[in-house]
Amino acid sequence: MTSSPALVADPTVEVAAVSKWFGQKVAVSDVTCSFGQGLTGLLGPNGAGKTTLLRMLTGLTLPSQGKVLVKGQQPRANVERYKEIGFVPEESALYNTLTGRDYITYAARLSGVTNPGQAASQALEEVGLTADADRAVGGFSKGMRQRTKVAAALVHDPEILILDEPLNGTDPVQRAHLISLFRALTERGNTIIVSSHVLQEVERMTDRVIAIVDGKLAAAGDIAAIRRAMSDIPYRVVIECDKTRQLGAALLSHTGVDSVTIDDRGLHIETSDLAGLGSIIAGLAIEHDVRLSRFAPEDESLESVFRYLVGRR
Amino acid sequence: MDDRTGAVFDLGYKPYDGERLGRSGAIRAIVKDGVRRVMGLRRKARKKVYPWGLVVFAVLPATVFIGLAFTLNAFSPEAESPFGGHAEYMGLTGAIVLLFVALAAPELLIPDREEGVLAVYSSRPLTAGDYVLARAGALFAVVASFVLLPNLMMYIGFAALDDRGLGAALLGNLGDLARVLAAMTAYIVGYGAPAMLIATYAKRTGPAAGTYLAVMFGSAAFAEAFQRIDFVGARFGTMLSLLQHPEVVRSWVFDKQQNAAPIAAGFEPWASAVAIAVLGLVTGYLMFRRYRREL
Repeated sequence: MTSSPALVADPTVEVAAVSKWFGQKVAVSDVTCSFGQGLTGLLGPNGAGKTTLLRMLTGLTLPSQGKVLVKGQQPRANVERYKEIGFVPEESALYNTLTGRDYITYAARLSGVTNPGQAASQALEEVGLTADADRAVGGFSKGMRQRTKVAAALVHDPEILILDEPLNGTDPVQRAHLISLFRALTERGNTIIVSSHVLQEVERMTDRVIAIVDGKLAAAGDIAAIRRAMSDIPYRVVIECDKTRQLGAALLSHTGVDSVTIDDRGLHIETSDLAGLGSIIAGLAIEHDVRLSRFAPEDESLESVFRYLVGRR
Repeated sequence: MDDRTGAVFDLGYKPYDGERLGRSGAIRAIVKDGVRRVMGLRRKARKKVYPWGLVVFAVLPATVFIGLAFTLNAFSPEAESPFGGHAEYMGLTGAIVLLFVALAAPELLIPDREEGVLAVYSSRPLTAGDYVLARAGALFAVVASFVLLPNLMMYIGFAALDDRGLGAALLGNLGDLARVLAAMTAYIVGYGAPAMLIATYAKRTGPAAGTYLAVMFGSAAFAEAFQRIDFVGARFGTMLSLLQHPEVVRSWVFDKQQNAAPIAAGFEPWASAVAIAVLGLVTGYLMFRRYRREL
């Protein structure tokens, strides 16, 4: 059993007290977390240290302090480990003069795939690029370039996929396609680490997130649990009912209810005691003859959680 | 009976489940990609003009001469060759090697770094040393091909027209082939190493090629100046002549007269061979150090 939500029981990738600095600039500061089978979202505002952390996970950058282990071994210059890692870097990382097929075939050869042509065709099909495979990558849209990078990362069927902003520049259909691909990989037992700033998409892919703010581990675990752990920020709850004014007035007299506002959608409550509010609301509704139609947290979305985390700096 | 049939197929992820090769496969792939890139293969026509033009310059004279010798069968080719023998022809191809590597080395190294493509290599089962070795190997393979091809044609052509007969002449002239290989290695390492070193640190191919040519010709001018200066130790300055060391080695292995600055300053020809070897090793080390940070 693990003691921290940042750690998983059976880790594939482990980050132990890792720091990375470039001269005076601290990019990652004392981060400890781990990743296992399934998909984990790595979140953080621009410059938070996500890319640096991902580069350390792939062994492209050495930690200044601490240790990164991939399946129990450090990944830096570890040829055997690279056979099990697929990486989509944030930067372009494409040869514009090659066709999509040539590029993926080349990536397959670099990974030691014995039948690179067949593996490339398969990977191109997985990302939906078969029809455009024989066009030069230089003429691809940003979304197509992203999918080409994903195909290059998948072509040797790695167990661990590390994806730095893989959904950047993709249109909604392409996003849905890639997300379903990542889900399919997750179901096969792959470890997938996705950094993204498209929070709704991360929310669609996974419940488990690791949030990095200013190079430090800001939060980890299930999105709703992270929100519940942020006890210093009042919860926002929306209540839809037939007598908003009566219920609002009754709620204001209770300790734990910080504020009540009313609009067309109903009552918006701010409370530091969500459990307490939940236990009294039914009694108040009966007492004031109010018919409740909805009682729901308003800010357990990833976007709200993320906004709070960044706002705490 | 209802004979309609149907099936639901798995549209889910279909992984590659074949065998995996080791690092050698990756190195071969990088060499092959390098050869293709240097020669402008699968690229626009203008990218092919420079490398193929130089290759034609290197190969065509020998082809025409050997062809004429066979056609006319009226003269002793080695004695009456307008290019002399292998030694002189290596002199011609040496100049072509210089011009070729000026653009080929930057083309091999700079786009990978500047277009962020190194990440493609860094997350694959190969090391920084493998990458450097493979890129250098691509340059060596291409240059060796167009240096060796005309010399092999001459070697076989001369032997075929030799009075001793083809077999005897081929065996009798094996020493020529060894000398060609030695001179070729001196040219490729002596001219290729500085080009690779400059390309390792440069950001753009054009300026890298210009800098390389300026360094090569500048070093020769520098060495000539040192040859004329009269103070203690000035002669060591002539060893800075990057342009002339391969020429010195070529003349040495073919036992020809030479007046390059290091020789005029009193150095033995083997000193140039050592200088080329040191240059190659230092370049390899610096390249490895540079790429170890990124791969």
